Amino acid sequence: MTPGPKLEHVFEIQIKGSIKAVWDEITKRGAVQRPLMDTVLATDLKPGSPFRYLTPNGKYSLVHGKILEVDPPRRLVHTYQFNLHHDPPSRVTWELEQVGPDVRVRLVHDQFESETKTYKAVKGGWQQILQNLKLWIETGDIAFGTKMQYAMYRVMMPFLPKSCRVDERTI
Amino acid sequence: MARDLDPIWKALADPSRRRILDLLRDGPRTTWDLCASFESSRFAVMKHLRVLEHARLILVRRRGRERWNYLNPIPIQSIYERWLTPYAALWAGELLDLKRTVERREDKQKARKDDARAEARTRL
Repeated sequence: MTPGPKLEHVFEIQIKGSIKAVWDEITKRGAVQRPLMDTVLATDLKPGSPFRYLTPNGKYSLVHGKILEVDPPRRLVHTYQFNLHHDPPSRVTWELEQVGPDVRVRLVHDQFESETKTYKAVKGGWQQILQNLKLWIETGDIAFGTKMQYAMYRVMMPFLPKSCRVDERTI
Repeated sequence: MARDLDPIWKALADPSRRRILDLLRDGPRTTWDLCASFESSRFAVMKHLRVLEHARLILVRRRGRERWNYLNPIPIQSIYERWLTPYAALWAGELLDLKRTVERREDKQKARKDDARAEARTRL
């Protein structure tokens, strides 16, 4: 059952800024996280509690899971289920470390059962999220291309499957 | 700002180190496995791995006694962002300028034609 290192995504980015600024951004609730696909994190952020990443209008959720560990401002661990695919939960670990003027942000997405659709889908997504997190903290804005992508997502939102509609699922 | 990229350029300058990155493209490998893929000494490969790790082009995770090396594509993306995104913006700017110039010229031509027509009419 233990998935090997071959089935893990591991990324790292260096961001100029304070560890607190990065932590506050990735745990921000009740307001849109621009770098994180323009979603709103809905949770009480306590180990064992559920969470959802909601679209800005609160009607859809693309990712849900359970908070596993919260150790501000260094470590956030949660399970991960992508609502577009029906794969078993995997696990996401955020590790933050202040190295001089930089914050080293390491993201590990592991515990995939196999090369699931989720495994393939999230690879590019995390890279984009991390790049935008860096831009957001360092310049206060995200990439132009990403903004265009968000605009397209907003248009496509009504066509999301039922599995993404918030009133359809209970967690 | 470009100083930050020095370790990345340095790491990428060596063909053996680029080969290591190529080997990691399909997924992580143990240090032992990587050393076995090269004819050079284990010491030489370890030295390359340290340079790559310093540039954060590879990330190391330990599992028991094994060291697993993962390719981190983000520093290479930073090079792309640093060098190509400004050019993309520049090109977009140039194209807009071109559009404006062409449109202005067309406007002038149209105005000139209109003038000529008006003149012809007055002559008639």
